Amino acid sequence: MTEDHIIGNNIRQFRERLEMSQQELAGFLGVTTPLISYYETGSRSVPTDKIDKLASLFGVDAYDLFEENAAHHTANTAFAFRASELVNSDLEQIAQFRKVVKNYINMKTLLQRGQTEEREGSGS
Amino acid sequence: MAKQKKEKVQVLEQKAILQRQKWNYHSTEPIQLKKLLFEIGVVALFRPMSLQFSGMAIRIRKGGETFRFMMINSDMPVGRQNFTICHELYHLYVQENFETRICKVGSFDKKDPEEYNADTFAVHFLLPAEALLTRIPAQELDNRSISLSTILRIEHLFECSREFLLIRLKELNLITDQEREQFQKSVKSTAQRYGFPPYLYTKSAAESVVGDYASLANDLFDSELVSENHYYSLMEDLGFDLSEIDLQEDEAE
Repeated sequence: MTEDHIIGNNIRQFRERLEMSQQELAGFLGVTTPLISYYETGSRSVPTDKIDKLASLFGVDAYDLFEENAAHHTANTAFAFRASELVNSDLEQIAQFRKVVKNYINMKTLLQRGQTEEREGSGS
Repeated sequence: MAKQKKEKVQVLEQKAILQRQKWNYHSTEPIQLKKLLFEIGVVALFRPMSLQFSGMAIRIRKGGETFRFMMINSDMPVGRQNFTICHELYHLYVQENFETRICKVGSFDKKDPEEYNADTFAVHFLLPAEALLTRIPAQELDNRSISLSTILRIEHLFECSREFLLIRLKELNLITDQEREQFQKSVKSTAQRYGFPPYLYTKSAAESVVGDYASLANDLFDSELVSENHYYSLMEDLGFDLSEIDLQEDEAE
């Protein structure tokens, strides 16, 4: 499977998990609906800025979208909501909120690692 | 995943009171919700959203720690936002097996058990019956005639919406349907007449944040665990205007 196929497959799986239509996802990304279909079948490459936007919406890291079947092993993104009830600006805010959550967890991990290294450094 | 179950009102009322006690609040006292969120370590964002959206919560367990987040629609009146905060607290602290969800609160939808539970919990957490009863003058209770000034005092003390307070008074049989209808009229102007500020009935400033996200970013930068660029991008994600952050200069007197 090519990289485009893997990414496309992941986009489709995450989109279906959010119960979003291709049309709604197209609205969120600001592209046409047929283009979403091309992305999902892997017949067109997804530009980096769109990958970042999608990752925020799905609540994952951008590199997760490059892994096969990412939706199956990212339990934390089991977001139970019907995206069709929300407007585009809501989806943007939700994506931004997920980014804040992701940053926060990464910062905590980084700080803990920094403290551990400091302790080990001073102990040696 | 465990099956969702609609709890009995009394059970949810008890959970609300016990949760209050856990956080050192008596069942008669008002809670400053933003202060509570800060104290218990919830990272909360207040952002303008559409009317379809009241709030959203995310709970993540990682490395033996639990992290809790909520986003509240700041385009709703403050009284309503406070109800949403209490609703999300149910998901984050009371509900088992919770990860995340988007909520439209206050529908008491029995077909959606955990949303119903969260709404009912929020009612009793925000304004317990005991808190309400102890705030009504004995004479008004005796005559079964609650005054507008009492209603205004209670809603400002507990920072809840008029609609919510009236539902609560009706539930406890303290007002009639006609009185409820009457009190629902001209809420803002009557409050003004009695000298109460209008903030409870209007939307709040967008983009406010509660929690230690910013201080965490700052600590990481100070300990050189993140670069200056990374620090700026973390703050930008939080909605900060980068031109307002100055890492070098002291604030002008």
